[in-house]
Formats: sequence, structure tokens, C-alpha cells
Amino acid sequence: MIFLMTAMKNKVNNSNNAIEANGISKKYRIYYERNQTIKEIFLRRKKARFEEMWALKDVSFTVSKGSTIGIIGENGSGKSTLLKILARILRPDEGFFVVNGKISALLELGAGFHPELTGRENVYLNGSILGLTQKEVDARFDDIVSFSELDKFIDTPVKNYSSGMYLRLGFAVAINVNPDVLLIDEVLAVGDELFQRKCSDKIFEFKAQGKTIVLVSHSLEAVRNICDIAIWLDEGCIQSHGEARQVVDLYLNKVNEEERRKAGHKVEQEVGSRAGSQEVEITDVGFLNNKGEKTDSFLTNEEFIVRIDYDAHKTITNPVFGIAVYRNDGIHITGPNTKISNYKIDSINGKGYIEYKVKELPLLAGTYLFTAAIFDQSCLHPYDVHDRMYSFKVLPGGTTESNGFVSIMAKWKHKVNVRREM
Amino acid sequence: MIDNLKELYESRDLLFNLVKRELKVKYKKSALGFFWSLFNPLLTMLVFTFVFAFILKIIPPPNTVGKTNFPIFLLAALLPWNFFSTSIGSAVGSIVFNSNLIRKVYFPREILPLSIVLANLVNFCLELVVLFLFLIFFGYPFFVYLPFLIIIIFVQLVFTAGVSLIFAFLNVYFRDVQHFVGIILMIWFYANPIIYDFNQHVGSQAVKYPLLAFVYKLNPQADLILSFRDVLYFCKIPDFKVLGYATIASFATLFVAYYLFKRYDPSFAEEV
Repeated sequence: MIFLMTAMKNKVNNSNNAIEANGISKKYRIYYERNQTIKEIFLRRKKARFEEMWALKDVSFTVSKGSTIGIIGENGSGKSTLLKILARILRPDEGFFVVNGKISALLELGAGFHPELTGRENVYLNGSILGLTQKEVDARFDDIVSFSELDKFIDTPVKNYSSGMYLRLGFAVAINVNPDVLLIDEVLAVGDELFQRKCSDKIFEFKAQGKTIVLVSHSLEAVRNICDIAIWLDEGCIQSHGEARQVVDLYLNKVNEEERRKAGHKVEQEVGSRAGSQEVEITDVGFLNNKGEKTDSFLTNEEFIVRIDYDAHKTITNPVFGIAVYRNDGIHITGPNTKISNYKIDSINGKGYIEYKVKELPLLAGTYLFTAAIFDQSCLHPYDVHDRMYSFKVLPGGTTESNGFVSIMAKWKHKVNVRREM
Repeated sequence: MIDNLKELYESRDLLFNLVKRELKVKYKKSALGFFWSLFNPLLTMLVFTFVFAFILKIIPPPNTVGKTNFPIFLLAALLPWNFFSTSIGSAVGSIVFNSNLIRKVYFPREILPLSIVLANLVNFCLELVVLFLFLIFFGYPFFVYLPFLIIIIFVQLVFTAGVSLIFAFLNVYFRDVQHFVGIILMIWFYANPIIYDFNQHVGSQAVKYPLLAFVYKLNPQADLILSFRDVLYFCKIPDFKVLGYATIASFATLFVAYYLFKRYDPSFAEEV
């Protein structure tokens, strides 16, 4: 009822935005020597020394009702600070924000749990800490208990719970809050696989109910899959803001670049660079579509041809051509070569090219990095390796699949063995 | 201010649950449970009676029905004082000790010290019930004045809440407040007419030490104790001047405390 009323009230006096943030800035003081006792204040008689650091600088954005927004960025980029400001735990130093509707923040599971109290008592306590009324907890109590699978232990003090049970109960209460806007911090990253799956199911359920979700996560996969839009924070500033997949890709590019830069100092295993003795040189690598046109964007299940042009400065017998495909977050997807495929090339001298043709490209939407290489017959000596120097994109639209990163040619089959009597 | 109060009202279920937590945790493990909380004032009463009534031969003034009884004279003042001092003593650390909550969840922060005060109020009322049994046993006609007692308890609650908020708030910024508070309460104990009678021992000195008497009278807790004793021991209507001052001072204390607390509580999460 209360939600309904606030929701209605907000509909009347405001737009379709669930959150409007305007120029939010937050600075922290990093103290060197802090006066935290009265004695120190009187005896030292000097001001505490501190340095100011902006955790957030002029952050503005809006989140429309029912959308899911992900906040990504490195550690210390201000993600959690932003979430805490939205949750009203911290006060911004500048700027303001408006949240339409009831807001709940899940920054910690089992907040306020007391070890001496039973599971039941803690459910009520934790529920009210998260903003539920007594009646609301009453109404959801059975759901909470069955979700946590702790029916047998609900009247046991939580100090006797295992850490997994503790988390399960905390999460069961947390997901039973019924806000219009839900703020979630990394909490999903706890618990076993089964539990995590239950959590993400619940998040999708929230989404389906048209709730607004703000998710802070290090899991780019989660942000890509769950969120509609994303904000990339870098040192407290919005670096990019837009469609979740694009923002994640941009962020990944930057992370990769940095990784490359760092790896650049090492002699071996350079990323995105060239290696080899260069008796044979790779002169060009091109991606061709089914019409033979050069392109770097494809659709899933489309024909995909790579053409590697080479120039051999002397006669090389039994060369091995190889390729590798990486997703832009570094996952090595495939790495075939002519030796593995038993495709024999007797010898090369002068210019030529080799083609690698995929009839139906199984990769799902995303950005991929491509390696082309020529080795000697033992595959130990590299003539020329262009490690992740090329990239191509797979655009969404070629398939309805979107989970994971490949689409495997397969068919479903359903069969009923015995029908249960009604 | 109005918004803050509205928010506090909306969080009443949380307040209620925290009060329940306080009480449950306190008595969960002990077999005698609540009786421990009675045991403490009774033991104090026995010790004080032994020291002051038997050794020092302090005789309290007779009440309106002509009875003199040091234990009741003492308990009528000691129970409200215990309510006040245990509330302050545990409320002072309530924000800092719950830093994990403060940093992770938003709720009106004043709920933490207030829940402690209310949990202690429950104890206090139960102790009063036991005192009533004594009063009935000794034939004190206090029933007539029960409505006044309810008013006095309410004012005592207001004052206790105000002082608790101030100490809890100060402790966020100066951690040694929680160590000081024991000493402050010890001195404050003697600045109240608990083990002695106001008229016998303070009123008579007022002419000689007017400034000291003035400072003494500023303390609303002393006026509250006088009012409690008027009803519970002397069995008479409390002095309206005394109770009136206590009421005004208590509400003023709570107002200032709440104002200060709410002014600074948005930054508690960074300070704890």
C-alpha cells in the first residue's frame, strides 16, 4: 500500500525518471594525524593534517523508471561512494539528487544480525533495518524462510549458522524488500554457484516487475547481461555513459590498452605486438564477408573469411599458419593452425596468401581480437606473429542468442515419457 | 525538523525491533532473565541502607502519612536515576559500536540511542512495579498520585533521550567521551538528592552557598528525582514549580540535542 501510494504520488508530481542526479561531488579527507580525543585537541593545539581527495566529481545522470543501470570502473573509481550517496548513507558535498519512489540499498547482507537472536528474530530485525514494516515482514516471512531453505533452523540462534546459512538468510530478507528502486553492491559475488544463480534469477524477476535497479559490479559479464545502461566511472568522473554493452566494451578497451602498456615493458609475450624472425612476413590481414568485401563487422552465423597475405624472403618448407581469436576481455576462444588441421603446405617463396574460412561464424555479439602467425614446421620457431593486432566486431542481430559468447549449432528435442495422472 | 520527525515516525517498526533486540539479548542467556535487572537495584539499596541508615544514621524525613523508611526513600530516587544513568552509559557508544550498520544501511541514526533509552524504560517500569509491591506492603497511599507519576516518567524519558543523543553524538567526534561518561555520571549521582534529602542537606545550605545552590538547582535531573520522591515516598502531589522547570528544561534539552544530532548525522558514516 505504502509503495503504491508513494508511486502514485510521484507519478503525479514527477517525470518518468526514477533517479535524477545533478552534479554530485564528494570529497574525502585523508587524515595523517587525526585529533580524535579531547586530550589531543587540547595538548597538540594544532589542526589535524589532512589531504582532500575527490571521490566523485560532478556526476550527473538520470535513470528512467524500470531500467537497470550498471556502474563500472576500477577500484577506487567512486562506484561505491556513488551508491552510498544514492542510499543516503553519505551526503554529497556538492550537487543533489532526487529518487522517485521507495529506495532500498543492498550493500551488506544480514545487516544488524545479532548472533544471540534466532533466525526468526533476525529476519524481523533485518527486515525493519532495510525499511520493511512489521506487517510487511509478516506477509513475506514464509517466502523469506523458503527462499533461504532454513525452515529447520529458523528458531536457532544465528551464531550457530554456517557462514553460508547466514548469507542465505541475509539475502532472503534482502530480496524480499519491495522497493521501487533497488541499489545493489557486489553482494551478488558471494555464496556458491547455486545461490548466485538464485540471486540473478531474482534480479531478473525484479527487472520483469519494472523495478529500477542500480548495480555496482566488477563482473562485466553481469553488467552486460543484466543492465540496459551503464556508467563508467574513472577517478570520480563519468568517463562514459550509455548503452551497457557499448560502455562495457569501451571500458574493456581501456583496460586492455593498459594491460598492453604494462605488458609492453616485458620482452616476451607482448600483447598486441609483433614478434618473429621475419624470414616470412605477414604483410596484411583482412576480414572478408561472403561477398568478398573487406569489413570488420560481422553478424553471428554469417560467413567469415580471414585472408593473411605473406611475403617469404626465402624458401620455407612446411610452414605452419595459425590464427587465434580472443574476446576483448582476454578470453582465448580459439587457436587453430594448419598443422593441427593437417593442412600441408609444401613450401613457400615470394608472395601469397592463405585463407581461413568459417562458414557460419559462431561468435556472439562483442569485440574480438585476432592473432595471425607463421611458424616453422615444429611450431617452435616463429617467423612472424601479429599477436592481437587486429580486431573485428560481431554485431547483435545475427541470432536471438545472447548468453555466453558462442552460438553452437544445435537443436532442442522434447519428449514425454510418462504423463502424470492428475 | 518536521521532516526528520516524520521519518522517525515512519521508522517506528525499526525502533520497536531494536528495543526488542536490546531486551532479548540482555536476558537471553541468563536463567533468571529479567530478575537480574531487579537484583542490581535491590543490592544497591541494601548496601546503601546499611551504610547510610545503619552506620551513618541518616533518617529521612517522614512522609505525609508519618512513615519513615530509608529503603523506600532511597529506591524512589534510585530507580529513576538508574534508568537515566544506564541509558546514558550504553547510549554513548551506540553510534560508534554500530559502525557497520551506519556505514552500510540508511535509517534515522537517532534510532540507535533512542532504542537503548526505550529498552531501559521498559526495565524501569518493571522495577517500578516491584517498588509498588513494596509500597503496598508498607501501606503507602501512592495510588492517587499515579497520574502525576506517569507525567514525571514521561518528562524523565524526554530528558534521558536528550542527554543520550548528546553523548552519542559527541562520542562520534571524540571517542574519549565514552570513557568520561562514567566519571560524569558518578559525579552527577551525588549532585542529585538520591542518598540524601534535598531539604535536610541542600536546602539548609542554600543561604550559605547561594551560587552552589543555584548550580545544583539548574540540574533538571535533581528536580525529576524530587518529583519522583514526592509521589512515591512522600505520597503527595509533586511541587509544580519543580516539575514545571524540569519539564521545560527537559524539552529544551531534547530539542537542542535532536537539532545538533540531526545537523551532523549525515556525516556519521564517514566518522565512525
